[in-house]
Amino acid sequence: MVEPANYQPLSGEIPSNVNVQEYFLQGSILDANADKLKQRLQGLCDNVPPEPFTDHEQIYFLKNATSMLPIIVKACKSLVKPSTPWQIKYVGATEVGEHNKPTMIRSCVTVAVSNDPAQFLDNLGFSLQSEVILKGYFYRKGRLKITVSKISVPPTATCDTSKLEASASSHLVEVNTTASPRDETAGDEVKNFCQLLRPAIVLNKVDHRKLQQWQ
Amino acid sequence: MGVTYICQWKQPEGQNIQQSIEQISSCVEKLGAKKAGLFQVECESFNAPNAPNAKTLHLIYDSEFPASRFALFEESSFLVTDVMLSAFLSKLRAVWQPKKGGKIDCKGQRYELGDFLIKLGVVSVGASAKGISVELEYAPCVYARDCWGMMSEMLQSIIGEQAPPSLPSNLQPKGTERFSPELTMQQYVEMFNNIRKTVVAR
Repeated sequence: MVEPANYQPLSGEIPSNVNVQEYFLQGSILDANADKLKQRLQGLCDNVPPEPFTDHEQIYFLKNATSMLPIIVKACKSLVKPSTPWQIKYVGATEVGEHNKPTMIRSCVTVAVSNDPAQFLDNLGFSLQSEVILKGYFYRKGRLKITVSKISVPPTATCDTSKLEASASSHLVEVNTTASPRDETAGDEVKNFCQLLRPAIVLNKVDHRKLQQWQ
Repeated sequence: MGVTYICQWKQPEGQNIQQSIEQISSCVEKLGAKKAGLFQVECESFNAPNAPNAKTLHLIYDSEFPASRFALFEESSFLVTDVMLSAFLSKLRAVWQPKKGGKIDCKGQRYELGDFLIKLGVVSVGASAKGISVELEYAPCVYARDCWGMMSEMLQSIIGEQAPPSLPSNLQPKGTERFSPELTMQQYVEMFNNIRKTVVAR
């Protein structure tokens, strides 16, 4: 297909249907109760087996002269499927919003890249802040994405996924979806789904301002 | 995707760009090449004004690879990404901004001649045309050294004396490296940089 003569893929306007807003809620569940939650999710979510994943996530930051908050980019690589590309994800500041807003909102742009983006991010001025291994299961319901994962510290020598040191005795649970900033139903969809998980787990808005205090 | 060679064609004295592109197009059509659509290569450059040691970043789009974008730092790493790279860079605009006059593109006609793909394009900075580019791709082969003889003959038929006499250094294989789209984009960036220097010198 040949584009029209005035098509400007790099500097033209981003198509309006690009999903750059993430609507999400987070919570945690003790390891002992995680299996019950997984069974409930299996019943509520789309009729496909949950996808196991083990991701190595590196968090980079770039100090921003115009703002107190640094620019955060996450670089993520699957450790169980080496053929899948690296992903770099820009995450904006999390907005908790007013009480009537159903979810937390942040802008996010995910880019698949061909190889390890460490050198590329270094040239952009980013510095590695931390890295974690996330191991768990990924469920989906329509456009909602639900992850139940265990956060571990990467081993110092090699990434041997069978010998991971967990950082807590609970699983992180996140329900999110990405949609256009003009979509007003995405947040309600996330919140309504989270209501179905009560009382096994209560997913709420979390004040990320306390987590985003940088020294 | 095969081995690709790109160069700027120095147009004859006394001809404007439109006359030159018509001349070289008729030469390619006389060889038996058939028109096969249009092509476009666009390059936008970014820099970080507040970081004096930062390298220039070139972001390239090629219509032959519509689902990909190419990011190249000068004298440094290359990254192939999907189409969201522009949106990603726009989020970094507090630090990385498009360079003024940094947008350059090459648009023109594609021709197919057997296993060869020939692209003749007009290189423009903004609205003004600055030069003519010739791209020759030999699709069945992925090792430059193996097919350079045939490509050199075809280039001589198209651009005559301007064809390089031997395998150019930027196509010299490093070990057993296969030719890849990154090498194509590096050649485009080199050509665009040369054209920009010519524009500044005037």
